[in-house]
Amino acid sequence: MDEAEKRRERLKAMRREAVACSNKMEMEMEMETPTALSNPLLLETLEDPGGSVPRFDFYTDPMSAFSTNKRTKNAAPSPFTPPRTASPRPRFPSSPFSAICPRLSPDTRQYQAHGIHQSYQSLSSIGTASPFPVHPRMPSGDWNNAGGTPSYHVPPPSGGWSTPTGFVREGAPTFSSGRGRGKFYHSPIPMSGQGGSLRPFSGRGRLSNHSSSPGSGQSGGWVLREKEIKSMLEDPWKDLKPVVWRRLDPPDSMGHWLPKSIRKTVDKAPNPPKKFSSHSSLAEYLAASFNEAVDSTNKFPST
Amino acid sequence: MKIAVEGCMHGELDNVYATLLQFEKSHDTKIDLLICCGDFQAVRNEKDMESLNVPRKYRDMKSFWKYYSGKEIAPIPTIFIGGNHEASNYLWELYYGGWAAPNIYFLGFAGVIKFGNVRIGGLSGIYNARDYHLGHFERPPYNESDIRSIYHVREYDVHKLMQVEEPIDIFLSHDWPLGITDYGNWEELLKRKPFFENEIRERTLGSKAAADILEKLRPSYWFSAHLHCKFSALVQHGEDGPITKFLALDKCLPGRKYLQIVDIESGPSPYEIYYDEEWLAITRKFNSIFPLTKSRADLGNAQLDLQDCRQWVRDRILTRGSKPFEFERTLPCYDPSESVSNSSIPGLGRNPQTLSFLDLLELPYLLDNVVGQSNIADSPASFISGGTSF
Repeated sequence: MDEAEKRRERLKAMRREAVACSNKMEMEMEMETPTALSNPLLLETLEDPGGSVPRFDFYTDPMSAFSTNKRTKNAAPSPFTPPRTASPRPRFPSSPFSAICPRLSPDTRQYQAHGIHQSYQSLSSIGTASPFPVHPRMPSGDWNNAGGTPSYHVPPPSGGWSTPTGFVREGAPTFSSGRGRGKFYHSPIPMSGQGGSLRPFSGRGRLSNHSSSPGSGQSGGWVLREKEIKSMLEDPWKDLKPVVWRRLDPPDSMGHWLPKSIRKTVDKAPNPPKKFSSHSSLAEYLAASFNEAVDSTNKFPST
Repeated sequence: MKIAVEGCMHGELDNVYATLLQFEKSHDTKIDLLICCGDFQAVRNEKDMESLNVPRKYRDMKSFWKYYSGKEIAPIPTIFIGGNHEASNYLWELYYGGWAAPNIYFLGFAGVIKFGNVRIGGLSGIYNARDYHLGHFERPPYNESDIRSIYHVREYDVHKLMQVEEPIDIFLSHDWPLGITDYGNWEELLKRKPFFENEIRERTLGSKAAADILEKLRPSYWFSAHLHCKFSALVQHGEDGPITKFLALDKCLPGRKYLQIVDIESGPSPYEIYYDEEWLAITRKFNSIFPLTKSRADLGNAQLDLQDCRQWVRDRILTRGSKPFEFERTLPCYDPSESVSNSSIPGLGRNPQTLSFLDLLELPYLLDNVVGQSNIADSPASFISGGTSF
């Protein structure tokens, strides 16, 4: 019994600590949101004398939205999941690169004075020219040349992926016929259909040296499943009919805010669900979505 | 020209490139260009993280630093715009655009370039009416407020884009143009994303600035990201006018619809990035009213004649060529084997590419002007009028 009581006491203490911690976090989040952001579009109307109070403050800043939304909800439970990795950095094998790309302390760098301000001098011009080969598909301009201050010059043509000509002269071929000329790419090769598994693959060049650790260069990648490849290649506009653009006006009292061509369907359309997931606003959705991206990329390391 | 379009990058360069290389191999094809619609996260070192608007616990170096350092080279030419999760200090250095890393080109806060003969424009950031009319007052290191406003679209940059008259093939914005959902299958979208309903119904979903640009420029393609879902729309400009194919893509995660391959009619390869003559002229004309404080830009006070600027730029390009200035690494890069104090990494400096670009246009460097210390003698207008440009 004593043991059970002690356990209860410990649990109570933990709860108290959690509540205190939660309150502290709320305070910190408030401090991180110095000013309430306002609904950009509604703010425009605020400039009018009869403007109304913004309803939705955080379209453009989902993170602020999240924090303030939480605040207004009096610390409602967060719908967001924490990142799966505690480490802020990816894990790397001992990097041979560290010896090649030295860390420079400020005193090893040189500046050109421009009044009171600094001007970078290219690191490449002070002895750190990249030892890495230029990729064959990279423009052959010597991006890392030791020229110091760039001057107006045209790099000499060299082989490789591109042959820089440098000049676009008056009368030279310029784009003029490019209106609506896009077409969809259809693969000449049937899709490989990898069955939806996240299998590692071997690619060409650097890809052949694939590794299972995240952050190990271009050695991994996400295996594209058939569905994804299909989505990449299919014409996303094939089922759409063009609708004539019209400038958006404020919604009228009738709620007729859709183009005429689809306005008829709106009355027939089922009402969207009133409750949706745990995200109560677009802003929260964006914040959660970003966090999910961070979380998920840690969850799906390179193959 | 085969173009791979990608939604939000979130620093996953390694995985996206590897996935595209895998696709190329399995389909025996070659992708000529990768376009990324923001949230690129061009983080070079630990210090850049301080300018990234991401909660501290989610900050991660990801993989851009490898490309910045030269450890990896982007296997596909890449063009990107900024979103709302960026190393804003680095993008500010390259305000006018430039190589963020070898083979990886940032379009600038607003910009137009040519890739081969395909003309690509872009607007970085997201729209917020509260900050829209302000100048670019934020300077690194950003405080808690500025780190959340630096990426808000400004009227000045939009106004510059609105001056473009020659046709644009592809335009990029991070957030969607306001009202674009009216031009696609919004019902299906609401089934997938029901929490968009209020914003769609109240006509607040998207960027008003982007909608204005869409209406003016009427590009053949418009690509966006931000809302983390795939959505397409077809906009017709006038009863018999040109059509804009709009496509938004998801964030890059396994199993998500974050990539699209589009084949654009173009000239023969190889393709390279070139400065755009009209855009250079616009940049030259409007740099004199670059708003560097919170004050609204005096858009009507850009005194240079655009046609004069055009001719001036044309002559300049004839001499120098229109290839962008080469990439130059300016800061130490991240080293996973070493933990380095951020104080040992220099702060804002003048990027050589930007200096060269401004030198090309005979414009003064303004990006490190301290707020409230506008020096009239060094103003861009006086710089030009006192120079040899006209």
